[in-house]
Amino acid sequence: MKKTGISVQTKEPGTEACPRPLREDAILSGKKFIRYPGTYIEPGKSKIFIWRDLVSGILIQSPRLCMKDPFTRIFHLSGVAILRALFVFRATICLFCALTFLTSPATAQTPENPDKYVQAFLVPEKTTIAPGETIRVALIQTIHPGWHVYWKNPGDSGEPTRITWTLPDGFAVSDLRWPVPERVPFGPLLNFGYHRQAVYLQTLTALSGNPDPDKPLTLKAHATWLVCEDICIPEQQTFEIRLNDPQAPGLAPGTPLIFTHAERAMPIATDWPAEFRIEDGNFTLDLPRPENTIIPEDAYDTFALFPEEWGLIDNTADARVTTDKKKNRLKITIPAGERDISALPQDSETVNFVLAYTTDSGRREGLALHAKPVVSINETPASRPSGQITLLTALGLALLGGMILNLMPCVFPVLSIKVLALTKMSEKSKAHAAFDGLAYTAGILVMFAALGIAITAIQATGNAAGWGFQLQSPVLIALLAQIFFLIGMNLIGTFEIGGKLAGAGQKLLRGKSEIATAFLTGLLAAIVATPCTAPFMGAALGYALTQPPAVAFAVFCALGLGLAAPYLLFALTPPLRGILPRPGNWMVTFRQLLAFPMFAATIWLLWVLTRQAGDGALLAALSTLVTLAFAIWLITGPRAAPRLRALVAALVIALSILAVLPLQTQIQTQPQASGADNENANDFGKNYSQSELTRLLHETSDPVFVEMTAAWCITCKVNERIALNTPETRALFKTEKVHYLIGDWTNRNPEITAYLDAFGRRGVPIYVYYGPPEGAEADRPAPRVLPQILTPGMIKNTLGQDN
Amino acid sequence: MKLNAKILTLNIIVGAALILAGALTGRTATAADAKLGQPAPNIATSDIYGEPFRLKDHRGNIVVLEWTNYGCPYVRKHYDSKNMQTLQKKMTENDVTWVSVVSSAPGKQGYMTAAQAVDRMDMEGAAFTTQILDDSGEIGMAYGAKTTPHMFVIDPDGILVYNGAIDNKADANPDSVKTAINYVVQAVTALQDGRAVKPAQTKPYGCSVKY
Repeated sequence: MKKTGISVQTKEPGTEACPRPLREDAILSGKKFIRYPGTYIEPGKSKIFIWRDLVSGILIQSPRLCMKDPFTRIFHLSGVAILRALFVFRATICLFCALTFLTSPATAQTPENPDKYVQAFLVPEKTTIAPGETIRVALIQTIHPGWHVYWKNPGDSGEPTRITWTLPDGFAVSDLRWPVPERVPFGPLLNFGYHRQAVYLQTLTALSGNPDPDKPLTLKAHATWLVCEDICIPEQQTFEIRLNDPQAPGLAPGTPLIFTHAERAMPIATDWPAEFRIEDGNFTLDLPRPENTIIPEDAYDTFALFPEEWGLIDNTADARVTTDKKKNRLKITIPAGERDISALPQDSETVNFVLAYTTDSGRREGLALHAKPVVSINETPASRPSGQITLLTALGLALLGGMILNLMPCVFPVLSIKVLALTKMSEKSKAHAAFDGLAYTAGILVMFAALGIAITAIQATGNAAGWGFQLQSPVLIALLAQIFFLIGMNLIGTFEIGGKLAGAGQKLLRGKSEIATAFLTGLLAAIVATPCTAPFMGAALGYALTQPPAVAFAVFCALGLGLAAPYLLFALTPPLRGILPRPGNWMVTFRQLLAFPMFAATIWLLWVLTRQAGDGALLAALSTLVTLAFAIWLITGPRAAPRLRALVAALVIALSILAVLPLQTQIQTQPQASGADNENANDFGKNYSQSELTRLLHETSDPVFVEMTAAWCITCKVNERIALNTPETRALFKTEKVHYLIGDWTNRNPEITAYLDAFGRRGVPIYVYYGPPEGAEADRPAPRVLPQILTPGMIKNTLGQDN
Repeated sequence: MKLNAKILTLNIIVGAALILAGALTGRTATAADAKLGQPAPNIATSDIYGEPFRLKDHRGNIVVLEWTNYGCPYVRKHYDSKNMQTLQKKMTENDVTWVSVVSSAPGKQGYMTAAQAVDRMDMEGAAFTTQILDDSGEIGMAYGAKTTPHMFVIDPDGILVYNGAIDNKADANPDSVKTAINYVVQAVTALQDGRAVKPAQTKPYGCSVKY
């Protein structure tokens, strides 16, 4: 970039040289002028500002004016300048033209229309054209302050400027060349366009044999554009240029400057072999960065990518730039747009992009890139098991996974219920036990089916829902805390509603209520015990959710059956029940003892609630617990009338449900903000984000360990305590330079859901290890997925394999 | 073990209902849930007459959604040329539910109260089935409506089958409607003939929706 004698700034000048603030408006000859924002020119050392009379559109220039500097005095001091201002610069808002005597230009534009938001001019670079010659023509738009016009691809809305020519035979005109655009945000939308000024270039060619050099020519053009601020106004204008006409006025002396500056504002052409792809919801432009590149490295933060095709990128999103180790390739990643990529025009071999950036000197530049679309092969980091297994395998895996789920730490909260139910088996008659077991199984199946239907329904609306999604609702967590608290109170013997009602002659009724209880226990077990995935389950779930609803339903039922299996086995096999201890008085004590795990589970749920919805939610939930306790005391009092009991019970239940309803709106959108995450047992890990992972994988050769966890996932917590957040693992990670990324799925997080999805998973935990590249030039090996139950040894082995 | 079965039942039923409700409603806040070939995001609101409007009540009919802002020059092109009204009339006579949606925020161009909207409808001679006012922009965001006009076509099963411009003339020139290829007409005709909608997606043109 050669320095010309005159540099044109697009930044507001600082006030450093002005003892007082810069003047924003001034009166001259009864007209009020405002300083034209962003435009000032600096010929040599003295700065010159452009001022505009908003009524007439007249432009004048002046040296820099500070507040209280008399406007008129300065102008009177240079009387010639005033003359220029009023006669020469009328109709030209173009700051380049402002330098010049645009006395009687060959560009016979229609007079300036003060009602318009864009003042436009059409200027040829010369007034003559010989046969076979090509000349450039500039379309200059000066845009009202605060308003904008649109680039070739206008972004989310708007319409680009268009020009159509009426040409005599033997003439041809090229497409418009567009200067580097700006991003123009508007509410939730984003447009690509220009503020203040845009100069477009076109080349006009006289084909050989044309024109007759002695014959004057008049070329007509009609331009339309949309100019918007908050509202939009379409404007249009007709232009005429006269060539080879000795009668026509000559070119304004500043004309060459217009073209010099216009060329500088154009994107710089490149022939770099760039490629782009759209994968997993992200658009990525991959381009080589030649050794002697023109893009300064510091400019990466200022990158803005403008595709000429619509809908490729989410226009509102910022570009993320990553480089490989040698820094000779650049990857620009932006969330993908709404357009179906397969619907790209078939003939478009390459798509044009402008990559804009700001140089050290504050100049906005751009590169013109031509990138080839790469058809997405949609390869995922790990082999996707869902694609390979059959329905039968999936059902088998689901059954097995469901059974193993009984042994996962996630089942701790409902352990009491299960153990108690099991011990009671021994005292039951054969038929009773069988009914009980079936009812419990039915409860589990119904809940699994309901969860399955809910997940498929949510997916059908185009949203992602994962396994355990129900525990992402703080309302449900609060309700569960209430239920667990009540069960605890019941177990410890504070109240015995069923027992008191069940008289001698109500054996049948009692039997029914027990079956109902077993059913509800099943429901509860399924809803609480299933947020985590167990071994084998991941593959089955991943499969189920890509299949038609009926298949998914079958897999969910198999899972439920697996979870219920051990219990059902005891219920239906009398000899097995023989090994259970005989019933006796010990059962009363044992039952009371089991109340404490329930209270512990209540504490866990309240903790999860705090992580999801803050300490206000905790207060609300604890208050409902006290209310419930108070209600139990009222109901179980010796003098309480049955009606009062029913009324109080109904009221309290209604109240406690109502009290926790508003929690749904209190979900903390950024649960992992600040130091709160340290609580997540890993103050040595960093919060997961896809961009960070991409960066680490491509810019470093260090190993990366990714953990996806959730506060409600007890298996995750156990793994953290036993295998991850231990001094040994910390030390190991430190010596091996492992980057440890933790994603918290306690609340909904599409980015984490997408990550799980890439591994064919629908739930947490998942532990993935990305080993270092095996050699200086090699790529990283395929990521390794660790089992759902970790041991310290496993971590060691995984890391050790690479050494 | 004698749990309080009733408490448990009630809590579980309410809880389950809430998860579902929460899971479904909490989602619509994230932008552009509308995806081609997927069920269109539900709309449950009241229209300019104060009647409840639920998208799912219109299953069995083709539904056309038209984002509009009477102050926008591109909307003006279609209303001043009577192109939009003619289309609305023709469609609604053929059992198409035509819903005009205004997502302009209060104070922004195109914003109307329900009463103003009814008056304006008469003035414009609009012939849509009904109009809904989406001041909060929630419906607009769920559909990813970007411009006025921006058109969506939903098939009788509630599946979104077209998202994009009204026609192929992305300009504000009223004369262009005469020669334009109308994508909405194409989509609706294809549905009626049992053909696949093509194109199913085009770039919408016009003013920004004034969220």
